[in-house]
Amino acid sequence: MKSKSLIILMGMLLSSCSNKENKLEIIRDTRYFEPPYRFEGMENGDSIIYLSERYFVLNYRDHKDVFEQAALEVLCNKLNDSVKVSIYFVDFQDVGIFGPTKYKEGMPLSAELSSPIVTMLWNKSLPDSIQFEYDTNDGSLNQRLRSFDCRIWYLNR
Amino acid sequence: MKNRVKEERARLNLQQQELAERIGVSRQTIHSIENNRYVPSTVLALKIAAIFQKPVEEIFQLEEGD
Repeated sequence: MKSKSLIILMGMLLSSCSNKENKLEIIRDTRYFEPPYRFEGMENGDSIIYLSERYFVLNYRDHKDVFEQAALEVLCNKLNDSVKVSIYFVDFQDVGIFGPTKYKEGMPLSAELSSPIVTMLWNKSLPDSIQFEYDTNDGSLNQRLRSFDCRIWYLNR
Repeated sequence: MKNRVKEERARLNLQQQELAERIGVSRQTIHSIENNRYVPSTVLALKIAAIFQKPVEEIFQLEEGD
C-alpha cells in the first residue's frame, strides 16, 4: 500500500514538473531600448508619450491558442500603469521551449536567438482596437486590426 | 546593433514590401534588418531613417559588445 502511494506521489510530482516546464511565460526584454518611454511633443494640450517594448515568449508553440489573449492582458496591464501612454508598440519574440536542454531561468535571452511572433500597436486615438502583424512561417506578414477590450482608466479622467 | 525599423514601419502602417520598394532593396532585406539578422550599410541606414523622418541614431543604436 505504501509503495502504491509513493508511486502516485512521484507521478504527481513528475506531472507538476513537466507542467512548469511547459507553461507559457512572457518576459520583458530589459536590453531593448531604454528608457522605454519617449516624449514626442504636444497635441491639443496633451503630451504624446510613446512606449515601446519587446517581450520574449517561452513555450509559445505549446500555447498558440491562448497566447494572443495573454499578450493582450500584458498590454492592458501596461496601459493601466501610472504613465499616460499615447502610442504603445510591443514586439513578441519566440525563444523556444523551457526545459533542461534549452532556456533555464536566469539565462540571458537574446533577440539574435529568437524568432518574431507578432507585433502589436495601440494608439490612443483608436483605444478599442489593436493593430497586429503576425510573422508567418513562409516569411510573409499577416496584418490585421482587432477589437481590444481593455478599460483604460486614464482616458476618462 | 538594435533598431526600431519594425516599430517605425508599424507606426506608418507600411508593409515590408512598400518600405523595400521605397529604398530599393528586397522585402527579405527589410525582414532581416528588422530581426537583427543583417546590419545595413550606412547608406541604407540613412535611407531608412529618411523614410521615417527621424535621425539615424534614433532608429539604429549600438549594443553592448558591438
